[in-house]
Amino acid sequence: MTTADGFAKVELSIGLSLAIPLLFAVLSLAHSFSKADERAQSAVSAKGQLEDTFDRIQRLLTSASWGSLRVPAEAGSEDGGDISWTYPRGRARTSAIRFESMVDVMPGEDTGQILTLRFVRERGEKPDDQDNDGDGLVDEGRVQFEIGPDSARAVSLVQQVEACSFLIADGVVTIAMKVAVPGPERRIERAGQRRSVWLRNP
Amino acid sequence: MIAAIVAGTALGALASVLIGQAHVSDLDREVELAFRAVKNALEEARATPVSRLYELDGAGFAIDSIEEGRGGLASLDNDADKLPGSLSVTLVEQDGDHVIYRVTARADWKGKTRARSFALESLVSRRYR
Repeated sequence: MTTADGFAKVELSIGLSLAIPLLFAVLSLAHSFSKADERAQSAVSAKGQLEDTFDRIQRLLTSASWGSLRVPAEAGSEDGGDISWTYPRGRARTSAIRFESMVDVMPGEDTGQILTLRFVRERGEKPDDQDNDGDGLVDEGRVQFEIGPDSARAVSLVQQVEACSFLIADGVVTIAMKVAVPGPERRIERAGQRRSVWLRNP
Repeated sequence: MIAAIVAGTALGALASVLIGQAHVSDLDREVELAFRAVKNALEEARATPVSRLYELDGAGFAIDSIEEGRGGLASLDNDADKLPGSLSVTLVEQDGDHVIYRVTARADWKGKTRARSFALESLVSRRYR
């Protein structure tokens, strides 16, 4: 069976029977590493989105001013009067807060704007812990800034938010937020965090 | 025989790498939770009027997670209040009305592999408006 210048059939068949499962194992491992890497990227993306959003909110909230604003009516004008932009007080958990920003919301914007930070659920989604619109995300919406006392302009801050709430107590706003990022194979990577911001300028 | 030894060693090394990776991932998550909780505790301490800051000395705080299916950090077995977070407040300097406190927020928890700890500190003084 053995030849002088090569492998015997038996040797080749034993070699192949060992090499093929090993090759499959290596390929399968490489595939699972690649999937794990994609999932890790989605998870990092979700965390990054969350951190970035919190940082932007914190920048505005740290110097926010709360209270009642009195806008004196100008002579001959129907505009003016008391505008209350502070709500809510107490320990209620809420989906919106309103404050006066002491820094610019966006580059080029005036400071001292009245802002409402609000969680708005997407159309087609209800707060029922179900994925109503079939996109894999549960009860999702966006967090947006509404600029002006009448919320005339809305600027979306972050999308794919599954939950967001604000709790105001003793000069500290605690924000709880969960974001979700679709990953490979319809897998959703989620990140959630609670952050407390002390209002330095209440 | 030699092939079996080589294959066994390779499998052992691979398993060790995977287990190590899982532990690093757990540790990463634990430290992130601890860091965030400690930062939040410091932020809440800063909001406390300086005249009442000493009341926070020794206070504990929980370190939980809002992510579904993932718990928070467990306190160490010998922790009296069973809360993994704790605050300590020490007087650094006092000159009449002017006082400076050192506030340390600390997390000591039972990690997946062993006990871990993390702490941040901040100097707090009266705010003049």
